[in-house]
Amino acid sequence: MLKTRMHLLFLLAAVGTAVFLGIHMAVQHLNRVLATGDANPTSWLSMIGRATQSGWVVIYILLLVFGIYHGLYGLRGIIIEMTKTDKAIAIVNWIFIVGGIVLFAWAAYVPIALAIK
Amino acid sequence: MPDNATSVTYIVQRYDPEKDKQPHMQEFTVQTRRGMTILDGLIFIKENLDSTLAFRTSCRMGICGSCGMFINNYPRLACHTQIAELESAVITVKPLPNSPIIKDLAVDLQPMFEKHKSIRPYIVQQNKAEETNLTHEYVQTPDQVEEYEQFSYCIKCGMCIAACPTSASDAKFLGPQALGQAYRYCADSRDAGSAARLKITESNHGAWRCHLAGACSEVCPKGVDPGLAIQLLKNKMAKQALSGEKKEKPIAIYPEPKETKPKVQVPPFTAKK
Repeated sequence: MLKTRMHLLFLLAAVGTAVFLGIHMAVQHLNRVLATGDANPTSWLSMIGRATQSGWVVIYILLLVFGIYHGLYGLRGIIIEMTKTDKAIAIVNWIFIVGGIVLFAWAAYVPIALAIK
Repeated sequence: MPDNATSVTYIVQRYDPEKDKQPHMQEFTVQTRRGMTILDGLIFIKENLDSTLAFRTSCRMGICGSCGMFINNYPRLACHTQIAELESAVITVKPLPNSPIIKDLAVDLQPMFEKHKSIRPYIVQQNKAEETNLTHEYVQTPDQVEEYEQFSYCIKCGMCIAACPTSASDAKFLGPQALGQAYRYCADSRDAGSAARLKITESNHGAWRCHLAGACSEVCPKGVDPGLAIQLLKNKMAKQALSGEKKEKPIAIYPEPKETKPKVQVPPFTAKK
């Protein structure tokens, strides 16, 4: 039941993306409306400050994982609908697995590097 | 259709793959009478106007599922649709979408039957010998029957597939008919084949490709609601995926009676002289 588990993870990732994106939006972009966080959360110092706090690093990494997984799995589903052969589906799967890992490594590098620093 | 109308115009899609490059439309004028169905009109055309018109029909009473067609841009059974209920003096009749055309209005439903076969649409027994040679009577409560009864009314007309947007874009998609029937058998308390069946329905072109459009349920002439069946099937798949590979529950059978009442002695039949 691997494909079912992957699909359930896809649904979970949608909820996770909404939650963590909600936190991100509330703190960073809707702070005046919701009266949350810093007065100027998009300033360089505020961002560096958050990036060195492990809680924020975890939130960003999880947002990244959920966002990438949900987006790529959804796109894969659309492509697979139009893919006829099992061999082509296997190629599509590998492109998305490798692409997802590369995308994650590229995007996660900055928060991880800042957190270690 | 206006009350005073005595005739309607049938615009029928014609296509012979051996002769035509593209389908084309042909008009026929048909005299109507009260209670006349779309199928009656097509039979009138075939018998009186153009004998080369090809369409499939059998029971004429909405049971066999042969005469599914795209009537006024909606999948309907031709025998189950009266001309009057369309309220139109022009009736467009096309073959069902999402299936290859054999000729004119007759489509090839073989892909649907192949997909239907692939989901093992029969009661699977733990003991294989029992499948062909039943030795027990299986217990089923009214509640257990209700679990699948609605979904067992499928007549395999293929209209759900014609309405399904996923079937339109993915020819390999199992489709609402096969997936609905997969649930019908998985929900049957006498069945022991759910685990194997759910592995088939979770394939790349299986139940998770359903987009929840619900068009299948809307067009089903028997009220089967394949959309609901697919959602219940997804629920079963999710439960199995989260709980791991579980062994099938033993199927309840009636115990052998310990005591049997003696048969009432009936005097032997004697012919009156």
